[in-house]
Amino acid sequence: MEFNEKQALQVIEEMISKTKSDMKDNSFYYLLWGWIVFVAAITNYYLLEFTNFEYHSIPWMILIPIGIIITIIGGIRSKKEERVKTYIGSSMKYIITAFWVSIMVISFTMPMGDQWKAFYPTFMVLYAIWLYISGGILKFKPFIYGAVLNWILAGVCYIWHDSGVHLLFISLAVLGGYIIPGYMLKMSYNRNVQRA
Amino acid sequence: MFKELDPLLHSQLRLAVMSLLISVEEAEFTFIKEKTGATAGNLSVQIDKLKQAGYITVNKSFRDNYPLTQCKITKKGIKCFEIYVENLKSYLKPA
Repeated sequence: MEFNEKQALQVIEEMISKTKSDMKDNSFYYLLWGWIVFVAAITNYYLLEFTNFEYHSIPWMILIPIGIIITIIGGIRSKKEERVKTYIGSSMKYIITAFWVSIMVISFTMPMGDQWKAFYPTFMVLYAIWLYISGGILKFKPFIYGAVLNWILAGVCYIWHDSGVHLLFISLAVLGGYIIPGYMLKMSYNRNVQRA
Repeated sequence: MFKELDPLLHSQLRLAVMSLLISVEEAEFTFIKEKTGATAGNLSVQIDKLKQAGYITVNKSFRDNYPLTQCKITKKGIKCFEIYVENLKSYLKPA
């Protein structure tokens, strides 16, 4: 059977679209960290405002290590399952590393320097950078809106110093930046899989 | 004026492999097999032809005691694919 020029073009189009539809479902980590920060912040707020419990920041100490363990296990597993390396995936790895190193530096050094006033808003600024870049790369608008929300809330927090307000704002920031867009990303991925 | 098409690329399966590899950095043999729907035997033969021509590189290793074959398009491969697509256009333009 002869292979003609039209069929050649079809093959090229089909193969390129197949690599596009192979986009991974990235929503898991957005939802994991969104929920961890949300639950920790709300619980911290409740303990701070409505109880006399001295260690009101304990939810962070419990939930963050759990999140880190799940993320590391998930990372090792997905590396094993990775059958194709994309250019987007490789650039995302650099951005993820930069984001995590920055988060670690802030998490350890700011409390040591007693810089609580700027603690949560600095996180929000970092979240905004991360969301804006990943929203742009993945061409996913909800992350861009989430980034804008985080920038606005961070700005307000830098001016308005109140621990309770900062905790409520960071929970709002992850709700609008990670949780809601995370579910939207999951839904759009499921729709693409059904279509493919 | 019709331009000659590279015979190495003007074959269904080899063209499919090259089209997959042009859009990714690196892909495993199993990924290419799944996406092209080819048999392992036929795919191995065609991949070998592309490798011999210097269009792709093939890296064989092991992961968790299983053989792992990774394919990557070369600069020469990209150039030849681009020329092929350019020449293909001459056939598809309305007369």
